[in-house]
Amino acid sequence: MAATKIITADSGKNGLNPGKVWQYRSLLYSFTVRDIKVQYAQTKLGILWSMIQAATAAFIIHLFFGLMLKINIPGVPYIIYAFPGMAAWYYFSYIVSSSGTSLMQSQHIIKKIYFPKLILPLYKTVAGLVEFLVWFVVFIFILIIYRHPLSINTLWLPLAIFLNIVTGLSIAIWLSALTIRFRDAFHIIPYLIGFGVFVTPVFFETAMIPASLHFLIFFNPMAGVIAFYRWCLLGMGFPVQYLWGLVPVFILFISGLYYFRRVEGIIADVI
Amino acid sequence: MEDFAIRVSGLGKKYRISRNETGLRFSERLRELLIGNKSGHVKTKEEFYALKNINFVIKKGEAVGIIGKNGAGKSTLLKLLSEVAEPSSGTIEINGKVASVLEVGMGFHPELSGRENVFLSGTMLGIPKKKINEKFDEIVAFSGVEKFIDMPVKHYSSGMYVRLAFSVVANIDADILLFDEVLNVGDAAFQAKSFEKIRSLIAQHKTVLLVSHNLNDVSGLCNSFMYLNAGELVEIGGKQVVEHYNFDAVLDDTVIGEKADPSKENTIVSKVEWTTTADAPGDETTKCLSAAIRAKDKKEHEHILFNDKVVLDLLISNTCEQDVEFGFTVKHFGSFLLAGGTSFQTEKDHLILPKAKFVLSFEFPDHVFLSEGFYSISIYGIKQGDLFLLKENILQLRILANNLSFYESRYGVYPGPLKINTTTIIKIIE
Repeated sequence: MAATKIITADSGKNGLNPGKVWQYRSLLYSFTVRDIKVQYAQTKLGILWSMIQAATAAFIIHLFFGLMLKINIPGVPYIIYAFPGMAAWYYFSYIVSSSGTSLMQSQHIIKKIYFPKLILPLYKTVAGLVEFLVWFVVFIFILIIYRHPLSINTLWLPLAIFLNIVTGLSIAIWLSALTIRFRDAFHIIPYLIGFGVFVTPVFFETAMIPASLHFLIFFNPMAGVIAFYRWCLLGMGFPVQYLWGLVPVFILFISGLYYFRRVEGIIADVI
Repeated sequence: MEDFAIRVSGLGKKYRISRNETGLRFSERLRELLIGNKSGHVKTKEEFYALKNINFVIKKGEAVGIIGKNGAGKSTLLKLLSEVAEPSSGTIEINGKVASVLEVGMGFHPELSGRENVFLSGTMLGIPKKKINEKFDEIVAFSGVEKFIDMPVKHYSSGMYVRLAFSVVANIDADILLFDEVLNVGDAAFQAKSFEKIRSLIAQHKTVLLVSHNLNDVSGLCNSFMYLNAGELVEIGGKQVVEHYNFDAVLDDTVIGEKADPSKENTIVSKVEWTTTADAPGDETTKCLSAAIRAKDKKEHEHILFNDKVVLDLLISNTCEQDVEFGFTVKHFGSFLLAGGTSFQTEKDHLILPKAKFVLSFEFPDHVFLSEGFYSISIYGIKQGDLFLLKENILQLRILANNLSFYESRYGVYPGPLKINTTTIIKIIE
C-alpha cells in the first residue's frame, strides 16, 4: 500500500512533478478520445470533413498565390512549397487556441475531480494531432498529382512534429494559465494567430524579404519549424540561423510550466 | 502501518471575494491599469473562511456522515480531501487510495453514447479500464437503460441519465470514498437500490465520507457523524451528533420566544416570557404571559430525566370568566408531531377560566412517556372554535436518560401520535 499522502497549502511550490501527469495518462487518453469522438459525433462524413477542409485550403491557396499572384519558388510547384507551412501553422494555431483556452473550457470538470491540470492543454494537443495527420494524407495526394518525390529526410518528420508541438505548447501553457488570472489573455489569441501568419514564411519565402530583416524571422520559432518541415519533406535548405528560434521556445516552455504549476493550486477557487 | 484513514489538523480554507469592478468606467479602468490605483478607489478584497481550524481523525473502515446547513463547509471539506481545491492552512494526511464523487454524472458528455460515457466517467472516477470492462453488463443492468446504451445520452430522459451515472459511481474502487449528495438520484425505487449499493460498499470496510441533506440516509448508513456549522467543526462522534444537529436546526428555524438569549446558541429554551401585555400572545381578554417546561418537584432549568414527571406551565391573564381550551403539541426534533395534550378532556369537561391571573399547569402522566432526545413544544388556545393563540416551537424539551435501570427502560418508545391525558391544574396568583 502507498505511503501516507500529505496535502498541505501551496503544493504548487513543490516543483514541476511530471510523474503526476504520467500517473494520469489513462485520463489523458480518455479526454483525447472523447474530444475526437465528440468532434465528429453525428456527422455523416466524420473525419473526411478534415480532409475536405485541408484540400479546399490547398486549392484556394494554389488559386490565389500560385495562379493569381504567381509567387514563384525555385525548384518546387508553389502549392507543394506552401502546403507543409500551412499544415504546420494550422496545427500551431490549433494548439494555441484550443490548449490555450483548455482550462477555461473545462472549468466544470476542474471543480469536480482532481487531476494534474497540465493534462488539459496536453490532451487538446494530442487530439489536434489526428487532424494534422489528415493534412499529411492530403499532402501525399498533392505530391502524387504533381509527381513530386518525397525527400528521404522525411524520416525526421517525428522530430519536426515534436518541435511543432513544443512551440505551440510554449505559448499555449502560458496562455491557459494566464486566462485563469486575467481573462483578458483570452483576447490575445486571435491576434497571435491572425497576424502571426504574416510574419512567418508560410506563404512566402524568407528570401523575399530584405536581408536586414532576416534576423527577425530567425527568432520566430515557427519560421524555423516550418523550414525544418520543408527540409524534411522536400529536401530544401535549412539555414542554421533558424536554430535561434529554439531560444524563445525553451524560455517560454520552461517558464510556462513553472507559472502553470503556481496557478494550478488556485484554479478550482478562481475559475 | 497507521490505522487512520484520514487525519486532518488545523485545516482551513480561505476564499477571497474581490469586489465586482464592472461598475468602473472604461477610462477609469484603463487609468488603473496604466498608472495604478490612484483614483481613490479602494479595491476591497474580502476574505471568507469556508473552513476554519478543522481537526479530526477518521479510522479505517469508518463510515462518516457529514451534516450541517447549507454553507457549513461540507462540500468544501470534500473538495480539500479530494485535492480538487487546495487548503489555505493545515495538513491532511491520507492513508490509501481516494476516489471522490462530488457530482453524479461528472464527465458525461451529451454527444457520446451511454456506453462511451460509462468508460469516460469511469476513468474520471479512477476505475481501471479493465474493471469497467468486467463490470460493464452489471453497470448497465443496474441502471436499467440496456436498450438505449448505444444512444447519445443527450436523448436520455434525466432519470435515465442520472441512473446510468450513479451505476458507474457504484463500482468505484478505492480505499477511501468521498460522496457528495449521491443518493438523491432517480425515483424512490432507484434511491432505495442506490442506498443498498452504498451500504454494501460500507460493508466492505471501505472508509466512506458521505455528505447528504437527507438525515435519514446519513443516519441509516453511517456509524459516525461530523457536524459542521459556518466552517467550524461543532462535533464529531456517534448518533448523538445527529440529534444535536437536529436540535440546533429546531432552534434556528423557529422564533425562539421573545425572551430567549440569542448568544446562548445551544441552550435549551425551557421558559419564554412576554414582558408587556401588548407582546403577549392571545386576544383582548385572554393573554399568555409566559410558558415554561420543567420536571415536577424540580426547579425550572434543571435537567429533565427519563423518569421525571414533565409539567408545562402557562401563566395566563384572563379578564372575564369564559370557556377556553388550551393545549400543546410535542414534536420530535421539530420534525414530526409526536403527541398532543389539551385542557379540553371530554365533551362535557369544559374549562371555565376564572377572571384572574393564574398558572395553568399540564402535568404529564406518571408512566414513562418520552424517550431520550430533543423535543419542541408548541402551545395553542381555542375559544368558541377559534384558534386565538398559537405559538409554534417556542419551548424545547430535552429528556436525559442517564443510568437507566432495566425496569425503567423496558417499555421502549411509543409509536405514532398520542393524546396525552394531562392533569390540568389552576393555581390563582392575583
